[in-house]
Amino acid sequence: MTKYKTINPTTLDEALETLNGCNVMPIAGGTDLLVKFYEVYGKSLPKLVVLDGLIPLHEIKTENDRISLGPLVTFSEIENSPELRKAAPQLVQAASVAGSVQIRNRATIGGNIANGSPSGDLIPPLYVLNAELELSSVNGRRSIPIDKFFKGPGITVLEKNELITSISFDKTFENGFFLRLATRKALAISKVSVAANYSMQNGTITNVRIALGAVAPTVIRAPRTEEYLSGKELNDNVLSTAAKLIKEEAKPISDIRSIADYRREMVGVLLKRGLNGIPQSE
Amino acid sequence: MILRCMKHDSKHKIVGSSVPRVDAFDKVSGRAKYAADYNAKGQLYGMVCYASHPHAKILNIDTGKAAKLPGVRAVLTHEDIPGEKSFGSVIPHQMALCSDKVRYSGDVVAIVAAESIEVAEQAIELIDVDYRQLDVVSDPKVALKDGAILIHDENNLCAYHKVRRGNIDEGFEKSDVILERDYSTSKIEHSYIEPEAVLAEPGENGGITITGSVQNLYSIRRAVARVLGLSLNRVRIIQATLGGSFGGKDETMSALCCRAGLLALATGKPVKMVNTREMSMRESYKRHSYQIHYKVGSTKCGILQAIESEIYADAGAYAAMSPFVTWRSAVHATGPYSIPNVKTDVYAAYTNNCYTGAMRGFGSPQICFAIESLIDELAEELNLDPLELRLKNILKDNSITATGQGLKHKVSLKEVLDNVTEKMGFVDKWKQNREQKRDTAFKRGIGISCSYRGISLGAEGTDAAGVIISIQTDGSVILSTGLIEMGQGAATTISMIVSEKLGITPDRIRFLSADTSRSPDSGPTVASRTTFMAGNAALRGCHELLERIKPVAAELLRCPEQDLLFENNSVYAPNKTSEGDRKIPFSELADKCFQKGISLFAHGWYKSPPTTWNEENGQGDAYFTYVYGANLAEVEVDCITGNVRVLKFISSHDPGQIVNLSGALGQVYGGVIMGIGYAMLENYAESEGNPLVANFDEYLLPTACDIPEIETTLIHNPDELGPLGAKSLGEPACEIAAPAIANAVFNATGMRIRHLPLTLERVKLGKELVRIDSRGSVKARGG
Ligand SMILES: Cc1cc2nc3c(=O)[nH]c(=O)nc-3n(C[C@H](O)[C@H](O)[C@H](O)COP(=O)(O)OP(=O)(O)OC[C@H]3O[C@@H](n4cnc5c(N)ncnc54)[C@H](O)[C@@H]3O)c2cc1C
Repeated sequence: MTKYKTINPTTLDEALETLNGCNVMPIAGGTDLLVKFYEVYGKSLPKLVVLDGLIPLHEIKTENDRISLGPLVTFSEIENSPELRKAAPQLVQAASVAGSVQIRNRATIGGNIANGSPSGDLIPPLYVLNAELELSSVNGRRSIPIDKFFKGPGITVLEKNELITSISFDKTFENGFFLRLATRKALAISKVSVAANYSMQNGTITNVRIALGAVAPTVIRAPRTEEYLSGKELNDNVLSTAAKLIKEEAKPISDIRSIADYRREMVGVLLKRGLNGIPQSE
Repeated sequence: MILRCMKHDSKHKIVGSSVPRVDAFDKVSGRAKYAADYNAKGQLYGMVCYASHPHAKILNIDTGKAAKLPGVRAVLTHEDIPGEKSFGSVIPHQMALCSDKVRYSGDVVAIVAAESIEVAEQAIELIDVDYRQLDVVSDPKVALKDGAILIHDENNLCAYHKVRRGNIDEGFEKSDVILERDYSTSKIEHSYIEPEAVLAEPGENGGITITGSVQNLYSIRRAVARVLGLSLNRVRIIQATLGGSFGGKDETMSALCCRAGLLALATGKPVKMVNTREMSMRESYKRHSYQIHYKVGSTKCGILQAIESEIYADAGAYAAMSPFVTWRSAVHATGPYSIPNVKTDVYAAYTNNCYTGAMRGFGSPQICFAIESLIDELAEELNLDPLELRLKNILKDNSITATGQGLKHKVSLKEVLDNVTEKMGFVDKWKQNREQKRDTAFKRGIGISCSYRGISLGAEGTDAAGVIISIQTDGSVILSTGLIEMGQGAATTISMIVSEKLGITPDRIRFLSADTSRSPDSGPTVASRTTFMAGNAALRGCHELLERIKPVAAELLRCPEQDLLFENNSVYAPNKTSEGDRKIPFSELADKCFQKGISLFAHGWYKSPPTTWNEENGQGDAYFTYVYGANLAEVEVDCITGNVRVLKFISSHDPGQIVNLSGALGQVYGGVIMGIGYAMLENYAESEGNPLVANFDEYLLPTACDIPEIETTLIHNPDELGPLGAKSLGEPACEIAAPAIANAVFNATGMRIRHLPLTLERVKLGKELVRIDSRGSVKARGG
């Protein structure tokens, strides 16, 4: 880190003030940013505003049925939170399969969102939890639903001087899952992921929300599949139709991590498996 | 991890036991000095300017702007080379700095020495090179077609080897079943943890001293001397502690040493060059990708009659070790089986891809994957189980190999196969797995593979090595040899052999890093030859020393020489002297000898037993002895996602005599793990000569989470030629993992995968391919 020029604010106001300047950039766990910097090694780099010292942004808070996570909450903290395990199972599942222990100890939820990758593993769960992001700058705060935050791969609505200061959602008392496929068991980016949240009432599925990772320029919801499933009994026929529908909703590409056809096919497979309660295979 | 060791003998005190690596503490405590840890006062930093295209004519190189940048001390091109512009152990055409054209994307056209890395990098950006792009040749088969674009002056054939035995047509005539299959394997990066690094220092004598991450010091020295125009005795190459090599730090290091040497001589300053991982991936040679066609003929009851094969290796831009690598492939192409009629043709072709060379296995992992898959496919056609078909055809004592060599030693193939199959109840389990329900998503499978492997260089070339043993007056010992420790455990192994012979404990021995000016040219540290060659040389050195010090000991103990026992840092004559068991410390004996003017320094030299080879028909005693190994892999296949989990490995090998037990196990574990990477994950993909992967974020290796339980059984089968009976282990452990996995996937799913690696997409989409794939030409006759 000594190579990089850093500023270490201790209050949010101080941080926002600093970020209002030129050629500065916030850094949380650094697991995305330092990789990017390595690639431009030797070139002039912005000054890093180290967020770590902003203690309140590390907190997991519960108020009534609403949970709010500070952006600096790490994957490991999510993975090990008994509260979240009940209130947001899909988020916990996503946090626990990403990266490796070392990465999970550093990687933050705020960084995962701000980085804006369609394969960011915490993002599909946050879509199906209808998460709200709080964005702050010297000019004030605004609130934005997560599905309005992303514009394309790595492109978000975040202004240069803004920070994500909170991620909040209602506790879910319903069912949820997150499943993904990757090339190896650890330290691998998702080829495809599916997250869902839904209720089961008298054998029928309702309130179903499904989000897909790594199969479109941003994480996307699957509205047609959601609509189809709503109110249905979960039998083989229904699941097959849902799998077919969701394949049509995915818009995958081929790249170094996978092949478009494979991704499309797997979206359906993961949806079926999730709804059937088949756990993430390791 | 489980170990079973067959018939461990107690003949030896040290050899055969588990000794902690002599270099372990330095490595885990950070005391070990790797090449990049070396610095010299006033050193400059070297950087290279890579080719902008994989194939192009160089029209002009303008270094003017770069040379003017403050902090730059030298910018050199081929015009500044005092000696030859190229080097190479087999074909000396690899360019230290390119002159008329570039042949792959890792070629270098200019080099810079500057006061900092940053300045050196900026200077590289300022070098202007005009190119005229040429068509790119990226497929070895296309490269060999008439009219193909030429990479070098002559045609694109880099090497060709053939083996002819019996009459191939008659062999197929006698066959009831004939099967033809195509297989392919991918290009593999060595992935040593330490990228290449050197420090080159101009010497007082007008020569040069280079400390670096070097594997084969002597071939590197020849390259440097040739390019710098110096005699061998003025080029000194010192090996720093090596952070892994696996065959990889040879020609790549020759190039780096030449470049650093040129800059050091031009500036009169020490020059340090350290490759980043991206540079290493781009420039360093790889394990060859192979395209393999097999035709096999067998009788109804499974007696192999004939094997014909046509094999194409991608040599990339330069020959490097391709001629030898493909020769080994030719010798081993028919696997560890007795086959009366053989026709093998192996071609290596130049392309504009990254060049290829030595890597653990050296032409065998490709062959093992193909032949061991083929044998399973044949078993399926014949309705036999894979073990039965193998047992009917494997090499036995006195069998004749495909190259016409009679095996005079104890052939342990059946034993290793039994070891991996018996406990698991292979045949029953294999049959049960075949009957798994069609509609279950998760299916289990087991698969086996086996191999024989000629040890050391064989008929590739001269095979000899030397070890220097120097007893100090306090009884401690300094060992040095031209063969090196590169992580494989040679320092410990050779120390143990000396320890056994001189009766001193391994902690009394210090194994020095190799130094071309101080240790004898012992050829390359390759081909699993180090324990065998250096071990034998060390034994000779020990013998010489004992001959000199025994008379002194006998005199001191007043006993006949033959009663002396050297043990545990002392010498005594049990129950033979008037003084009973009086022990003389080894240190006292050493000091006495020194006082008497007896030389405590010996150089043991060992030349391998003879081998023969006839180029015309590919017949001969290719290697002086062979080792045998077998693997069993158990997998679980998720048939819906194509995800293959390797659950278990059972590995059995015949290393002759184990020297260091923990080292031997390490070789097996590491070999299996490397083999799993080969089977499941790794692929150095290229498109039109451009690499598609740049670092380990996309070139994926197995992590600790991907490693299954590995059960190992080592056979005790001392070889009369080996030092204390030892043969080799490092490469066999690695070469047969992939076919065991592919065979296990077939057992689970009924799906045959003939192309590596077995990624999820391959396994999943491979299933779809089966529907349109023609099933090969099966010819059933007479029944
Ligand atoms: C080896 C490895 C494996 C990985 N595996 C996975 C994986 O399996 N799944 C996965 O999803 N990701 C993975 N990642 C990516 C990465 O770990 C995650 O995206 C992580 O969440 C990033 O968080 P961070 O705190 O490290 O972000 P940083 O690198 O600190 O920041 C990332 C970006 O977000 C900005 N930023 C950070 N915090 C804020 C904030 N509060 N407000 C505004 N902007 C902010 C930064 O300026 C930067 O642009 C992996 C990375 C590595 C290196």
